[in-house]
Amino acid sequence: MTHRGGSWFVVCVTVIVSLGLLPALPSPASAQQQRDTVVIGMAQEPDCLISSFCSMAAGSAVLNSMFASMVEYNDQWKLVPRRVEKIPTVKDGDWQLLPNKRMKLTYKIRPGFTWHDGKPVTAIDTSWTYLMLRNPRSPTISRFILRKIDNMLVPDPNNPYTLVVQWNELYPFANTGHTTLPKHVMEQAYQQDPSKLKTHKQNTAPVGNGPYKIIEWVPGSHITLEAYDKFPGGAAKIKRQVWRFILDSTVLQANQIAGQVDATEINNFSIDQMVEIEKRNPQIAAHYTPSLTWEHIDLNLDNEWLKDKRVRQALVYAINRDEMAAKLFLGKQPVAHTWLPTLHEGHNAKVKKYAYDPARAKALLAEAGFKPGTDGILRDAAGKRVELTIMTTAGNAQREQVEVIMKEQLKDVGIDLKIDNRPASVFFGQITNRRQFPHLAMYAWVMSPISSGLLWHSGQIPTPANNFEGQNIPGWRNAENDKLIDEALTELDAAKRIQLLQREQEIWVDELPSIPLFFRLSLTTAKKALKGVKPAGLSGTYITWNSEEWFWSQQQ
Amino acid sequence: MAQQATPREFAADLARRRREASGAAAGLTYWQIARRRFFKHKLALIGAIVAIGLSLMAIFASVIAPFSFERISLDTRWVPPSFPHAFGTDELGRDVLTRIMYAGRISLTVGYVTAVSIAVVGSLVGAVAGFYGRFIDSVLMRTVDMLHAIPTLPLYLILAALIPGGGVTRIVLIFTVFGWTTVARLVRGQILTLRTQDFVEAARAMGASETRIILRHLVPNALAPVIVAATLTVGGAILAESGLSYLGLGIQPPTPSWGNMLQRAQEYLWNASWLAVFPGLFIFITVLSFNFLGDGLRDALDPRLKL
Amino acid sequence: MQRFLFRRAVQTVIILAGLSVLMFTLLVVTPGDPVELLAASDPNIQPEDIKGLREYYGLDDPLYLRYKKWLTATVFHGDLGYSRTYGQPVRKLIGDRLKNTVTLLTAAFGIALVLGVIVGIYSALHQYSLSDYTITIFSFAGLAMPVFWQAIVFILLFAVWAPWAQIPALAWLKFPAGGMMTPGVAGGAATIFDRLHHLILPTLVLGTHGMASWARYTRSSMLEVVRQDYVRTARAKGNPERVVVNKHAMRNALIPLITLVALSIPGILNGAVLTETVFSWPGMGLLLFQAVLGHDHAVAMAALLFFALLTISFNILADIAYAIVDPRIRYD
Repeated sequence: MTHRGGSWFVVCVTVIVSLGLLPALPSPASAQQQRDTVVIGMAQEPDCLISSFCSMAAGSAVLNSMFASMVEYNDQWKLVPRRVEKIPTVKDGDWQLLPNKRMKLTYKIRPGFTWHDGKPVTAIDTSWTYLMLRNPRSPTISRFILRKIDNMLVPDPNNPYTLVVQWNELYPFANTGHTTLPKHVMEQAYQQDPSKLKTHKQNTAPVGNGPYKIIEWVPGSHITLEAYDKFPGGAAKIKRQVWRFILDSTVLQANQIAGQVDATEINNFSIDQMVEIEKRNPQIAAHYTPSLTWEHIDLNLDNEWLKDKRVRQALVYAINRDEMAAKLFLGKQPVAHTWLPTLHEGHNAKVKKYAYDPARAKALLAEAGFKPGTDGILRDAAGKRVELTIMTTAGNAQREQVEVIMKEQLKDVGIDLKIDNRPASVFFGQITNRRQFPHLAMYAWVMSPISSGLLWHSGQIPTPANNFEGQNIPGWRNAENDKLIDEALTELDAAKRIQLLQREQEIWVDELPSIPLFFRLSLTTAKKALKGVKPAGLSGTYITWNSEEWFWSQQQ
Repeated sequence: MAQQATPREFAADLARRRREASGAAAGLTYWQIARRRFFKHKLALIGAIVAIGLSLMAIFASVIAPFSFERISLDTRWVPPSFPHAFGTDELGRDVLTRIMYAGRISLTVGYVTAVSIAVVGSLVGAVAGFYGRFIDSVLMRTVDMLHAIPTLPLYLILAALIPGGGVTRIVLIFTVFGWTTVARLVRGQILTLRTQDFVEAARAMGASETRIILRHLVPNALAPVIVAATLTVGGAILAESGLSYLGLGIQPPTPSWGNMLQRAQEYLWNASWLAVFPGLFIFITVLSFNFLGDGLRDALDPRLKL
Repeated sequence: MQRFLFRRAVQTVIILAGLSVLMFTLLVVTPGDPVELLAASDPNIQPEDIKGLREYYGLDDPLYLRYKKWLTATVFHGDLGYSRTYGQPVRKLIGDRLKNTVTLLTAAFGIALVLGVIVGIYSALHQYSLSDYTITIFSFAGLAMPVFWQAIVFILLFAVWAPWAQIPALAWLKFPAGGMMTPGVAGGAATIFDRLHHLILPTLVLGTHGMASWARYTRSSMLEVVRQDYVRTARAKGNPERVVVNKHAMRNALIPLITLVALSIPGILNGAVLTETVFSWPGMGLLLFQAVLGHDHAVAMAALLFFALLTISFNILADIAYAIVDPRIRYD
């Protein structure tokens, strides 16, 4: 037996070594080494590639490379023209204010942009897209902005590059451009049956007008894009862009460290994982970009204890958010004191700030009528034990860590915090939407440069009577705030609008319908040798917003 | 030709010949024989000792744990195994050894309770199917086939999303709803076989009552596969819980279980690998011990069992 | 035999029908649906939009109506519907993924079976030796580790660290960390090698789990057979050991394995779900998992019923094979 065993062993070793020596076998990694390809890893796979019909961020990231929008935000959060000659402004006259709260904007589309099949991109495409999306039978997800528009026209049949948009509302952000899809590709299917548009080929192999066109989408594996040679300003410098879907973030992290992907976007990394990537592979740069995702805890203002402003303020004093930011998030994720991010035009930096002050918290709670019981936990005036429940999405490590830390810190001021997490679909489907959380609910809103305070209007409280429509989840009612919101929604003068927003925030910070936690970071990585990467941190503007400018430097 | 033996004599003679055939000394019962065979199986013995040890550790966790279970210390995150943290600390500065002990409570509870409830439910269903036969048997067995036809993980997913909460009860419920089928099949098979055996006839002929037949003859023989299956289920449930935790649907933090500690530790594989080593090690040792134990029990109780 | 097959076919239909009702109900009753998830993340979505979306997807119809719609479409028109998440026809979606899963499962199954049987026989023939104990412990070890855990460790070990890959001759022993193929590899031999290269790690992970149970069962089956009288007779007749083992013992020992094959299909599918998730292997397991969590009912129903059909068919096949192999068994 041992003889036979020994000879088997020798055979195996020989086979293994000789396989490695075969010259014909290319090393799979060599494909990446070629400088005409960039591989981007994502922990999500797009569900579809027509942005108005789908919801997942992964789709938008890929679309960033395939479509050039009319107007876009750059990494300084400034609005810049891309496919139009200039951005319409009131001063220049191409943004006209008409009586009866109407407006008229005129865009001059730059000629020279073509669809990936060669046909020119004109204003006709944009106005057709508007009609198509507006049709109630189309599977459009959100018609919020579309309803503010009466009509989109191309007034001059000889000049298909001028677009006129007629608004029926004084919308302050009307100059941010519009979705443009290829009419000649989609029209026939649209005429036949708009409700079937989601299954149109444009969804899986879209004809775009951006610097990259699609070559293939292998579901579950990857999407390959190739530089479009007729892109104005020259084809992209890196010929191929490959998006790989690696759903497990630890495996994605391993891939980035091993260099098997060149960059990552929508990666579900934690800050710790990012730090680790940089440590393990100094050739990778980790980007910590402040973003607009506002992490907060909504308080149920219908609850007998949380009705009292002092209790809410006590909660904020009792948690040490600065320590969490410094130790848990390694100082990279700033504490939020209000609900607007720092780069937002209306951000109020001068609001009252709640520093960690457990003594103050205890004093406020005592003032509100709570007395400590024998086990150290407070009792209210009726003798009931003060137990609060916090809910959030299950499976989110950072949120759970925050919950656990809060539990400790709240115990110190006499509040027993119970943790009850649910899967995301349940949490958002019922718990928040129907206000079914007893006390605290932690989650995030994605703000945008055009966010308003509508969120906090008392008319936006979801109730059974209005079929749970609205997003004022805490259930906050404040007359002065409502008035300010109504004014700001139609205020076109930026300075005045900012003033209104700032006053809204002052009230908000005093009343505290939610506990502001942090502005989450947008975490992306890229090899240092990949030049031109400028992460923006804006939802909708992914790392690939300027991917046609990327190029590989000579060093490894 | 010899005189016709009376039923009583016939039964006694049969019993004596059986005993001799199994090589036992006079007077040993089935259980005593089984015990002797079990002790010969060394791996099973080790498994039993380890299983008992872990269970004791879990029961007395609050007494023997070196640190407070919930104490957080953001200044001592990720301390590698050293004094005084024998297993190091985790991402919130909590002592890992303490958490392993408390997590052991949860994981082992999941294991034991699942095993018991599957055994009880499965035995009941299987016994009913075996006794009454015919239509009831048919219906029950088709249900078993139906439930067996789908991989359990998607079912767990659906149930996990359906049932709120994050504690032990929910997990045990999910496992039991689909897990009783194997035991039911086993028990049914045993009962069907045993019903027609000679010794049942003999006992009946001797005048034993139905209850006596069931209790003294059928049950011990039907129990054997259930015991083995239950033992193996303990390990299986712990593994399944860790799988569900990986997908985010198992025991919810902050309640620690070995499964969700393992899942959490994935993020820190690079900088704090001990966080993954220890829960994984404990799951491994526990499941291994129960598997050896189950193997030994099977050899002892009935080596011909094809489980 | 025909009556037997007919009866089983009828039973299969009943089982599938019952399953479809059960699954559909569970899926629909599960709280949380994608439209609300959508609404929660975007503060700008208006109630009219939500209402429109719900109508579009038929989310507000009563349960029996939705089931009826699905049933008529599937059974009478062969139309499996469209995936709500991907907007692609379900049939196409499943078709693509199915190939991948079948590849992975066949490879893993093959390795598990072959290695398991060999190891089991060897172990049985050398009972209580050191190698038997070692093999026993390894077999059990394979069964005692969580699948996803093993997958991640393998990735770290063989795809990221792999210090032996520094030696040029062994460079190919550093495997890709997940995925099924490298985009952009030129066709022909290079593609085949690339696919195989990606296949190895997931196969090893899935395979080692299966191998352990096969080894155990083969061992105990072999042990029982070897003690039988007819084996002793064969030996007494003077046959060389090799003939005794191969011709007499092994065949009888392997018969019970056939039933085991059928019964372990669901288990392998389970393991496949976790393995595919970790390795991002675009297969059915991953699709099913995502469909269930994402409330993509059309895909989930199709995938679940497909798995059920697969399992039931294998059961029937196993019973038939059993009858063919063992002349003592006859169905009617």
